[in-house]
Amino acid sequence: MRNPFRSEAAAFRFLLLAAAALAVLTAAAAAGGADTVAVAAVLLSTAVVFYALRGRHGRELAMAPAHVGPPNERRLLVLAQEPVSDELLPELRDAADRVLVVSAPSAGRLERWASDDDDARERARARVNATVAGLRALDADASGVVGDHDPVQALEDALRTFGGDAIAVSAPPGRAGARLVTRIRERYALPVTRLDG
Amino acid sequence: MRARQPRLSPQPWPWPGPRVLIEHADAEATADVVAALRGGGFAVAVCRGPEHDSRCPLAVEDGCAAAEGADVVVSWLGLTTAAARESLAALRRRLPATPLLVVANAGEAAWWPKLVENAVVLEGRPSPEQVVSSVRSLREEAREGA
Repeated sequence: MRNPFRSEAAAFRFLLLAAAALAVLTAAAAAGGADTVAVAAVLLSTAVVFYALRGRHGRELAMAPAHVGPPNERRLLVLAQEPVSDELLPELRDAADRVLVVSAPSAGRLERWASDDDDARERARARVNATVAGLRALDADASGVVGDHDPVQALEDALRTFGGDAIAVSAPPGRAGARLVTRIRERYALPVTRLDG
Repeated sequence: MRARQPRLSPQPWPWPGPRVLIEHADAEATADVVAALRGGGFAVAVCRGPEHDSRCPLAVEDGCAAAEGADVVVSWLGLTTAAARESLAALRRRLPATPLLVVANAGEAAWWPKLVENAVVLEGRPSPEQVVSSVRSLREEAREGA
């Protein structure tokens, strides 16, 4: 848990929250006595614990590893959270000298907690295998790996060994895909392209 | 009501060094410099500096994992605003041994001699090659002095 007094603004927010909590308990006491206060206290405590565990995600920095490989070699990381269209493969081949295809098993938290993410892992592997096979058919130097459940973490792991001078993302449609691409752009100081189609 | 901006919470470096932290208000403007530093063998982090009413974590008690893990810091926030000067002063105070490259407008550094003491100063708009060269020199000096 972070120190609530890390800044003047944070200290003021903490003061306001404490005053609000006191007001809630006072109102509960006035309304119904000890039992009501107890219920209010339990609810407030639950809210505090939930808030503390959820955390407040601060703004992280965009980072990039040192270039890996010969100076003029361009390496491309492809994150395949959706199947990559065959029409895009020539463009990916031409964009780099070496390509690493990464996919994160998109299992929900409950599935992961129950260790029931085999289907998600198989789907991720299928996406990787299909994309790598398609690239190799076009004479691209391509390889693939199924990474961490978190796509951003999967990219970080891949950047550690493969490097990567640019990232191409085949993201889910809609808001989920837009959020994923935004997270990647904010996290990595590398050119990030979203693959459509 | 203005949307609340998330506070700065720099993460630790996930990759080995040598590492360069660039502080620049416009992250997109650093793309060429980032590419040049990466090509020179440096891992790079880009910090846009404190925004709106937030403060640099070095200036408050949070600390900054990215600055603490950097081999060289390139301060490109300028010296014009109080927030930028506070960030630089906090960096000097908390990490006095970290080599520092300051990029400032022409003539600006002369107004703040204490802030740029023992730092390398580049004025105007240095090229990516100039930045890489300066970073390399700073790092070499630091290693020789160690």
